[in-house]
Amino acid sequence: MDIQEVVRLINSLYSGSSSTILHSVQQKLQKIQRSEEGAQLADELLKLENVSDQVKYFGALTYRVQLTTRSSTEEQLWTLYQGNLIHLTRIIVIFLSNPEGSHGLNITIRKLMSNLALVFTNINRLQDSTRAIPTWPNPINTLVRLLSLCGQHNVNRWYVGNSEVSSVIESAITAEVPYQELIRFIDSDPWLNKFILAFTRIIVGDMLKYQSKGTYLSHVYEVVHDHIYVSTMALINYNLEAKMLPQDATTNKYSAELFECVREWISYISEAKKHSPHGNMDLSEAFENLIRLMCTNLDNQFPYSRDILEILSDVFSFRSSVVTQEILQELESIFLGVSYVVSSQAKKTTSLGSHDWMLSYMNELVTNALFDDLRQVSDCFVDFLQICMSGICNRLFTQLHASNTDQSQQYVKFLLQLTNFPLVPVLEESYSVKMVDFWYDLCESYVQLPSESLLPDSHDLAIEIFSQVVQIYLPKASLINKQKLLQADLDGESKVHEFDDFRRAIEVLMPMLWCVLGNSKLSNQLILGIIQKQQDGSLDLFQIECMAFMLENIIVDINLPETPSICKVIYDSDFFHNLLFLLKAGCIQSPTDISSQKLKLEYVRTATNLLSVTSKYFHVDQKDLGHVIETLFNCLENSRKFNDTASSEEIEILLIKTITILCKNCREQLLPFLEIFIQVTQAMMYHSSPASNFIREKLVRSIAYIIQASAKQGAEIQGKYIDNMVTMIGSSVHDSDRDNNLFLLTSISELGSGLIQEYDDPSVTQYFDADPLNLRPKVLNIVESRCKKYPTDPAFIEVGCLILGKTLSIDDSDPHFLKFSMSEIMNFALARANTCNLSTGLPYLVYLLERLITHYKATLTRAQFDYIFSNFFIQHYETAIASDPDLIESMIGFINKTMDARPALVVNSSYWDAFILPQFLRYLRAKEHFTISAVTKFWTKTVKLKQQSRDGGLASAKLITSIGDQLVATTMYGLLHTHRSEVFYYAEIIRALVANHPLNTKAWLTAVLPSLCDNPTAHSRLLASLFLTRGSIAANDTIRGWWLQCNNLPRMD
Amino acid sequence: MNSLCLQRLQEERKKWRKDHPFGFWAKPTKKEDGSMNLQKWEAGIPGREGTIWKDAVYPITIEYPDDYPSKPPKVKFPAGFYHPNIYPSGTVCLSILNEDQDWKPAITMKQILLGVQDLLTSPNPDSPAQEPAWRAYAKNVQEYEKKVLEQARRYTK
Repeated sequence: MDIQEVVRLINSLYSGSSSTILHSVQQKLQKIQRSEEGAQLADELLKLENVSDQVKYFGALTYRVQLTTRSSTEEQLWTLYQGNLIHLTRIIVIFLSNPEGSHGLNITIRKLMSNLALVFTNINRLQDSTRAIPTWPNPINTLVRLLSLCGQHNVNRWYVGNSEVSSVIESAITAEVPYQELIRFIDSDPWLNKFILAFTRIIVGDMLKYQSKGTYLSHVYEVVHDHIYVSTMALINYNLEAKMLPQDATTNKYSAELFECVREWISYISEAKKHSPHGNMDLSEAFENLIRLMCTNLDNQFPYSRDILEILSDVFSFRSSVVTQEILQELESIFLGVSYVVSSQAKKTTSLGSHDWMLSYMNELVTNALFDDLRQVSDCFVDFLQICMSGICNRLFTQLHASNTDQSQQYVKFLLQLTNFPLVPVLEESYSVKMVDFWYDLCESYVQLPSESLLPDSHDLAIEIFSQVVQIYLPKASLINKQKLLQADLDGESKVHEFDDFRRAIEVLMPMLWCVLGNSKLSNQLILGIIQKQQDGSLDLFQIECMAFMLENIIVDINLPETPSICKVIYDSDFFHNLLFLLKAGCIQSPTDISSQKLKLEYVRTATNLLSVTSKYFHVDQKDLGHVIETLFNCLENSRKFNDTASSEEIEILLIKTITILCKNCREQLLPFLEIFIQVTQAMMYHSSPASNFIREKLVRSIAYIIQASAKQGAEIQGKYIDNMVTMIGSSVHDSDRDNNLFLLTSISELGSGLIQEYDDPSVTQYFDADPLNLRPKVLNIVESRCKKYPTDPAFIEVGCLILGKTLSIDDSDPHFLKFSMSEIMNFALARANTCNLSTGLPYLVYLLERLITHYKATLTRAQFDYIFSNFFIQHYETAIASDPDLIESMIGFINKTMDARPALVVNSSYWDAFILPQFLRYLRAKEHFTISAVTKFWTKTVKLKQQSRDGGLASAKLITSIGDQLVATTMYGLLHTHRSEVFYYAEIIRALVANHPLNTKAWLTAVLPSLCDNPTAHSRLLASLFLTRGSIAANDTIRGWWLQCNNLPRMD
Repeated sequence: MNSLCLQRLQEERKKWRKDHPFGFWAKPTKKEDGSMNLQKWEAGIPGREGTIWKDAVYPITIEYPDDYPSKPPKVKFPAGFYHPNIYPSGTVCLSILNEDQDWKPAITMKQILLGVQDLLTSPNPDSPAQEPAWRAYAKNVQEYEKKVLEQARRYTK
């Protein structure tokens, strides 16, 4: 090994050479690092002078590689252990001689520390009394002792191989360093203090990483608890008490390293608690010191508050188990100004900090517009409240804690004041944003309290508190605040999104508050907010929107016609008038700028959502219904004039959805408006109308709902309305535009869907069955003509099939104008099959045929089934189906549907033996997912036929006798060669075979398995387990195990 | 529900409320007696901006089994949801939701919902779950996009 050559290679590694050169250099260096000479190389590199920092770092890295690859023997480990200690000591001493010029050595020092952390963990992981290397109790003491001794010697004599140094190290490994010596040591040089803090941080930080990888560390926790913890707490507390003087804050060299060390130890202890009893380590003194520092106020300078709040916030969020009750009470009095002090706390003579600090700090942040820092305080504060939730709830509302009423009131008052922080939420303050969760949890906790534990006045208190919460949040959630955010011209939209999230959180909070406040204190108050006028008689748009937004999420769970208390408030007010005012402001007022366009969309969304959820109110009072419908149509017609294209498209969808919901829920109440609906639809049907086809189709569906209710006026009247609609739709399109023609068919389909009805007047059914107005021929004519015009366009076949099959899922006794006969449907389907492109058209025809079979299953004959199967599948098999996996899947799917409806039709078909069995057997070897999924279902159904009927049993027995062996062989072949995700499908067939024909199946499996693959162990295990397992999970697991073994794949569980 | 499952679901709820991606929502359903059912959630997944899925929030249900987090939750869209990797029943076919594939107990609700959002815009053609959308996605992109846009209108924000 030429050390100079290695140095040259290392330097070239960091010189930014091309990737090919780098790769080659890396390969060479890695080879040396892993070799027997690796430890020697590391030592050589680390002791070289006048080389770059990278070279030294590479030396430390080489030690790491050796530790992970060549430390299995004690000798190897001892060499690496010593080497790391010697060089760490040497390099720190060299660093101390010229700290300013040695900055680059930091990275090497930390790497060597990390290596020693690994050595520490490995040595202590297993207790082994026969080992020559002693237990390493405390690396901190070792380093302190070595650095003290090295300072007395000449650093040049501190090298690997020096027996004198070696014996120093041996004694240092178990050295005890008394407290005073440790303190003197870190006082002697600020850098030594920093390095010792860094070392203890790295040890526990690395342990956390090993723990997360599942390494067994039980004994290491014990060693840390008994030794390093003691030294570290001494270090941390001494630093916090003596070295963090407020006047030195700006020049303090320790704070970052110290806080980092504290944070890592908190993480370590919180994790260690979960894994070992030795994880219980008290941090109270450190927390007390931290809190005292946090509360330092030097003429409105708060040097450590931010850092410590950040640490506490992390503790409250994720590691609350490390804080004691006493510390929480101390913080409670600081954060809230009130604490329910327990007796032990009362004995304390000094307080760590005061609530005045909190107020001064927040005041300073507000005055200087330090909104990010303010957000951090709110994060910490609310996280703190969350962990105290059950205590707070109990103190406020139960008899479990003897509490003082004045204190409770002061406590709540402060929380409410914070929630009502007088700045713009999200933009300037986060208290209200964060407190939403707190109030939700408090309300939830209160609701879940057992009634016998409640204080006599707790319900009144809860109503008082949560009513105030509502009053605070309504203006906070107003869109006026979103407007401020939009106008603030911020980079990106993250703040706007955050505000939307805030509103959504309040929207979720409201139904929770409703559990306490009920309709009288919440729903009705929100309605009153919607109808309230301002002093000058005008309406406050923002207020209406906000109230409506909150109300929607409450009303949605209420059955309005059965809630007279709400209906009365609506009846006596301008509720709908004001709601429509909001809607019109969104739809038919011009925006003044980009932000108002965004807000307009919110108005429409809120207004239409609330209109939708209150639609059933019109069951009890229809006086505003006409106005509502008229306004919705007016907005639909004109919104494009006042909004940009993207917004108006969205507005139109919101409007038409609301119209459809109103029509669906209030069909009888809207009957008087049917003519208006028809006129509007007529106007929109014209090609010149800007309305999209989607809007027009949904309008037709809406009208259909109302026409459905007209049946009560007599079948003739309903028939006439339908006839008018069909005529109108049929005559609306004369051009050759493909989309318009498709829209025409879709509209008829929508009309048919809206008219599906359960109606117990047989005269209506008789009327439509007789069809005096020739509705069916008219519709059939329209459908046929469009399908002939576009014979290969699958969209026309799809909608045509939807129309023809519309009533195949309803009872024959229910009336409908689209009840086509079997021959009409068959003729339509045959005509399409003969002219369409089967690869895209057949799946829709199969959908129609499946519904047809299901509907007529009781009367369908074998000949009729054979006719269908022959004309749609057999005739096209060679030319189209056989080469298209999708069509194969459609064909198998059709057979499966028929098997579900009436298996005898398939089993007795003339194609059963001639086509279905041989072909479907072949498909078990298919590679396409859908074919496998469908065909395995077929075979599972077929094998299970035995369980369904006597005929089925006979057919199944006959089948098993004739092709059982082939079925087993092909299934196992298909299983062996399939993907992992499809094993389950084949397993289903095997399970069915084992359950229904166990003896035969076992014999066939025994015969076929050896011919599939040479894995007798797997086969015998399968045979042994399969016939013993009970339940699908165990059987699937057994089969999957066989598949994995035969494919030489490992089990992942 | 075992205590591990309950504890984890409470943690999931807390985490979700503290940190969830913009535009998503999720809340536990209510039992008949009005109490919270942490084992069944309703959630909304916004379509990603700049894709044919945008402008809509797609509803899903998340059902956690008793042996969660050892077993993954079942995520379902409404039956008939149009997407190549959604089964006709609405069940989502995604490797991180499959016990035999990439499910890990550490996977959070946030990761699941983001994963499903990603699946919407990037279907996996190797793991088809329904025939119509898979066929259209593979053979007729125009039809596929049209159907997705129609569906987006149904679930508009």
